[in-house]
Amino acid sequence: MSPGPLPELVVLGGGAGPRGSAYAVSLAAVGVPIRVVPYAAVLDGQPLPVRPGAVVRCEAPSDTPGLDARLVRLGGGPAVDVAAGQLVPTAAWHRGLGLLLSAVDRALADAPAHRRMQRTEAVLAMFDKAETARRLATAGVPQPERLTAAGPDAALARDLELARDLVATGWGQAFVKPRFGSSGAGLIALRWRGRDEVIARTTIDWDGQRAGNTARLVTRRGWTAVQELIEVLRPDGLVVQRWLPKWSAGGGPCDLRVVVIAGQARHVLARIATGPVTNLHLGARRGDLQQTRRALGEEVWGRVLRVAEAAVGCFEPCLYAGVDVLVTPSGAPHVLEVNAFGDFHEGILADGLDTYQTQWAALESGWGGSSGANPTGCAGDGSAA
Amino acid sequence: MTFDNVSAFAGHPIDDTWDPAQTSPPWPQLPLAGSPQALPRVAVDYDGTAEDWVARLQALVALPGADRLEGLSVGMWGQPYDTDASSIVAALVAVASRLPSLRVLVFGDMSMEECEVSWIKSTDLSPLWAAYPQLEHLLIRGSDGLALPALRLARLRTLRIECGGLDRTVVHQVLAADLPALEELTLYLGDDDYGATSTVEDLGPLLRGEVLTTVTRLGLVDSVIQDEIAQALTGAPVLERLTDLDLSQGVLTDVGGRALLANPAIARLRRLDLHHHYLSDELAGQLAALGPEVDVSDPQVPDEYDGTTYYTVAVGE
Repeated sequence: MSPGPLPELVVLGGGAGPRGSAYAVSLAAVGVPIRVVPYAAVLDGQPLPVRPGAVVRCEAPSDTPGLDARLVRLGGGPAVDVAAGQLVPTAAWHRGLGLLLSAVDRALADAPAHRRMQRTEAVLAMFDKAETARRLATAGVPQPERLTAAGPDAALARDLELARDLVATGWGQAFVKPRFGSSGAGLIALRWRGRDEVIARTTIDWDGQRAGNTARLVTRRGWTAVQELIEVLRPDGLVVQRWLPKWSAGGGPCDLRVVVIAGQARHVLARIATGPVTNLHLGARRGDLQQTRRALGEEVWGRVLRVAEAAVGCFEPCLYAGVDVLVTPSGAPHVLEVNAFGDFHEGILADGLDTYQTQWAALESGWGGSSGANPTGCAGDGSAA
Repeated sequence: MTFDNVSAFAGHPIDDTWDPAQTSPPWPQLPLAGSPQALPRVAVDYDGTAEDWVARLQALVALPGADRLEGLSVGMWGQPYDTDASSIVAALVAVASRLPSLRVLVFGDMSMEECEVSWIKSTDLSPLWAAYPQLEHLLIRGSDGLALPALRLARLRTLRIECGGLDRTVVHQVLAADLPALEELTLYLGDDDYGATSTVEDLGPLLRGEVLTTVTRLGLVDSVIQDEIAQALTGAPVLERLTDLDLSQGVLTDVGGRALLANPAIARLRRLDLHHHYLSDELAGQLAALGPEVDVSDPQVPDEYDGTTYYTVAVGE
């Protein structure tokens, strides 16, 4: 099973998008040409011819203009104008993603032996915060507590008498997020004292009729306003997660995006926020990694990496994922999210390789390769050798 | 809209790696080495309690070298939006004899992630005056319930109060204080939505140079009435003594900017801090060219929402 050079790399989606372009540039730098196939071809039911031993990568749907809206419609949702900032119906989008990835599975069903960089089941689980939390809990990976008193999250969304249940937790602060999805869309950061006072900071732009996204956090006050925001998320399911204070130094609260590749934490990005949310497109910036590492100390740093690896271990076999880890002021790491497409971090190197090149190196050295089992879970899978 | 834990104060770095929870050998070491000495932050985690905080302080003062500790930072004391700081003050008073070298105190060292600044429940700090008469530098963060009656500290050189909105009673208490060595005074006046009640009239005795007459570095910052403060400085006797003036982080528009520009005493300052402002580019440029070292960074754009324009201070809620 000596792993030879891989003959073909097929990328689905993302031909001209920022992620797809970055991917092509990165792989070209190490001499690996890619072949881009638009998702549209797969959705139209065309077979996907690949050469024996090929590797197939799925790019984030958001990299293909119009695809997110198409996924919503596929999933039974209404027409939405994502580019205009309309809030995506996340449950329909997630169903659409499932249909898209199933179409990919079918298109490759009769292909010769090949390997996949993502597994459909794992990607769908990562985009489902309730399922992710369940797996992390089973594996004992530290994560913020969740409000689950009313049972499964979907039921919780219907039954939650929010003020009462939240105040009863004694947390003082919590995040309410859509159950499905992974961007900062539909976020609500809540903070309360007693039953009377509550502050919500949110990316939901709600005018009483139509829900959109804002590129910056908006502040709302009072439980009535909060309840309205919750109602925006409720139909698609939501999760309520304790807002643990993030370690804060160097200009704002910080969390770490750790890219785990072939089981090992490799690339780390420190994100320093201007408020409670660390998404880079919501005003957070990249922090100085060495400075952050020094400030956290080697022991805490090591714990962050181990926790990220354990989180990705909940989705094995899994070539890579991007894990968001917060560290409390006392140095305890907690996993916030596991991102299936969380490897888009241009300019971040580990051992001289960026995230994409490191994945490729892992594939070249036989990851997910020749065992008799079907480690990537796709039909026709087999050895690259 | 955010603020960090305090990383340094009065030239001392604050050490947040010091672990008071480490109660078995090897005993934790106080960060005594180094010059200037790093100051330990005594804090509990998000689910800790004020009782835990007191236990940590007691562990700290029991360590060898505590008598040489020059300062400490009072961090998160557990649900600070519910639990006021009275038991923290009492604990500090109780251990005062173990901390004879303590010159620097940070009280309420919490980040935005830990508590809304305007929700930090402070308390009457006056028991500290008699317990720590040697204090030279005092930083207080959070003003809900804060009281500073009969403030008298003969050696205090720096007083800084950071909050989202300062009650006028506290302003009066500071202006009535007996602080003969005070060099630097910074007050976050804040927003009336978050507890600010003071007016320019409340600051009158200070601006007229009648009180706290040793201050050479003055900050009246983070204020919704930043323009009025800037205007009230026209002809204000206090400027004759000042080397540094900080009017940053508030709602300073061209109205206040023009008053500063026309004020000849401003040009004589060594340093003028106006960062986080709503000045036009033109006026910011003119102020920057005044002569002193001027900080006009971080220009702000007001928010428009439902036809209303909103100007916000840097640290509110």
